[in-house]
Amino acid sequence: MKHQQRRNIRGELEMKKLINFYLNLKPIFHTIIFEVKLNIRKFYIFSGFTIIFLILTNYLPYVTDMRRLPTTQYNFYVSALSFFLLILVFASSLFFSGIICSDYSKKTGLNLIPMIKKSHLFIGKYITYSILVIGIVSVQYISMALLEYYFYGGPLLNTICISYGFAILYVLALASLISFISSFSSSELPVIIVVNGLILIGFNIIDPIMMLSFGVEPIYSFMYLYNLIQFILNPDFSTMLRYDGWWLFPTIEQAVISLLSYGIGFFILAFILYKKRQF
Amino acid sequence: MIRKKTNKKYTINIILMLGIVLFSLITSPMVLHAYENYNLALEKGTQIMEISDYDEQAWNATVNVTSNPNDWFRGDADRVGAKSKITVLEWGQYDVSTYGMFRGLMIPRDYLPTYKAIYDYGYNYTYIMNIFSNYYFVWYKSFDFRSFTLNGFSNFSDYTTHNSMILLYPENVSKLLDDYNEFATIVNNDTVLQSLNYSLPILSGDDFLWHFVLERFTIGNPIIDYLTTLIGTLECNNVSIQGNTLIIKRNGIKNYSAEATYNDQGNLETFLLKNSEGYIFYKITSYYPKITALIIVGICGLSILLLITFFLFYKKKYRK
Repeated sequence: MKHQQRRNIRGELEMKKLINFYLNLKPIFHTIIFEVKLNIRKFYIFSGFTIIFLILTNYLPYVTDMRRLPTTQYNFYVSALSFFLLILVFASSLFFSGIICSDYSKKTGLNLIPMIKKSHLFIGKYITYSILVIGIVSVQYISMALLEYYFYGGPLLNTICISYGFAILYVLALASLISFISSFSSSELPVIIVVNGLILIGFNIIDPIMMLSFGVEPIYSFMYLYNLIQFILNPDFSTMLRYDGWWLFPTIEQAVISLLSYGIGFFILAFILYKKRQF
Repeated sequence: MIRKKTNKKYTINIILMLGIVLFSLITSPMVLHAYENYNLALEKGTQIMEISDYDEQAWNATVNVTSNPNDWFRGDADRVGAKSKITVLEWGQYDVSTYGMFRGLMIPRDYLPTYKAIYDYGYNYTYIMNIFSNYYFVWYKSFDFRSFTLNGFSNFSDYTTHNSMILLYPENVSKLLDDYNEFATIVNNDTVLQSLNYSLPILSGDDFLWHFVLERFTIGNPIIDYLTTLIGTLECNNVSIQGNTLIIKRNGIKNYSAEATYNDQGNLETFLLKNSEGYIFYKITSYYPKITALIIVGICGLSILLLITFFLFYKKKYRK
C-alpha cells in the first residue's frame, strides 16, 4: 500500500514538473507565434528576392545564351551561392538587428516585461528569427536543387546537404553576433550598418592583411567561413588544396569550432546583456 | 508644373530606353540568322538517353554475331535500362579548316588513334591545308557526355568537355566528303604507312551518314529541310526521310533498318533497329529532365495559389 502511495505521489510530482515545464515554455511559444505573424512579410519578401536573384544570376544568363553553362554541378552551385552571402547578411541583419534594441527604442519592453520574462522574450525572438532566416536559406537551396535538376538532370549532388547544414550553422553564428551588437545599440539602423560593413567590407580588408602580412589563417572571418559552404559542395572536397599562396577555405573542424564558438559565445553574452539592461 | 514636365520627360526617356533594349533583344537573333537557310535550335541543359529495348538473340541473328551495341554507342549500351547523358553547355559559330573538319566530323571514332599516328608521320595540319585549303562555316556545340551506364551517373567531377560541329550549309558536305576520300586515298597509297598497317576508310555517302547518326551529331532547323539537303548532297542510296525520322536500310546477316528520329532541337531523340518483319530488337529513347523540373515548379506554384485562394476565401467568410 505504502509503495503504491509513494508511486502515486512521485507520479503526481513528475506530472507537476511537466506542467511547470510546459507553463515555462508557453510564453516562448506565444512569442514565437507573435513574432512569426509580425515578421512573416519580411520572410516572403526575402524569399521572393532569393528566387528572383537566383533566376537573374543562374537561369536567365544560361537560357538567353549570355553565359556558358558551368561544366559541373559543383560550379553551378558555387556560382549560385556566391551572391547568396549578400542576401544572407542583409536578411540576418534585418531580422536580428532589433532583437534587443527595438524593445528599448520602441519602449515595447515596458509593456511586455511585466507579463513575460526577459529570457523567454529573448529566446522566443531568437528562435523565431532563426527559423525565418533558415527558411530563406531553405528556399535558396531548394531553388538551387531544382535549377540543378533543370539543367543537369539527376542525380543531385549529395554534398548539398552538408553545405545546407553549414549554412544553418553560419546563420546561427551570425544571429548571435548581430544579437550581441544589438545589445549595445539604441536603434536598429546602426546595427545593420555595422554588421554589413563588418562582414562585407571589414573582413575583406582585414583578411588579406592577416593572411599576407602575418600568415594567419582567418578562421575568425565570416567571409572566410562562408567559403566552406561553397567549397564543401565539391565531391572531391577531401582532396582539395586549402592553401595556394592564399587560404581558400577552412577545414570542417575549424569551421565547426569557429561557428559554434560564435554562436554559443555571443548568444550567452547577448543574453546576459539583455537581462542586465534596464528600460 | 516644371516638376511635372521633368517627370514626364523622365518617364518617356525610360520607356524609350526599355523599348530600345527590348527591340534589340527581340531582333538580334533575326539579324544573326537572316542570311542563313538554317538555324540552331539548341537549348542548354541535359538530355538523357535510355536503352529501352534490346533483344540479343535478334541482334545476333540480324546484325552480327561478333558485335554488340557497345561497339556503336559505347558503355553499357547492350543493357536495357542503361542511361547516357549529354549536357549542352554552350554553342557558337565559326569557320573551321578542312583539317579541323576531318578530325571533328569525318573520321570515325575508331580511326582517331590511327589518324594521330598518321599525323605524327607527316600528314599534319600543314600538309592537309596545303592541298585542301577550304574553310567551312559551322556551329560548334560544347557539351559534357556520359556513356551508357547502369550504375547511375557519378557525382564526382569527372566531366570532360567535348565539342561537336554542325555544318551551317549541309550542301558543303559533298565537297568535304570528296576531299576526305582524296586524303584517305593518298594516305592508303603511302607504302610506309601500308607497311605499318595504317589506313583510313574510304567513305560513301551512306557510310558517312551512318557514322553521323551513331555519333549523335546535331542538325540544324528546319529539321526536314536540313535532312533532305544532307541526304541529297551525300547521294545516299539506302536512306529515306519520314517527317523528322531518317530511315536507313542496313545489311548485316539479314537486312534490317535503323530509324533515327530528331527532336525540335536537332538532337537525336529515338533510335531503333527493326528487322525485315518489323520487329524492333533495339531501341534508345530520350527525355529532358527540365520538363520534370518545370512540372515540379508548376505543381508548387499551383499549390501556393490554391492555398492563398483558400485562405483569402476563409478570411472573407470568417469576417462576415
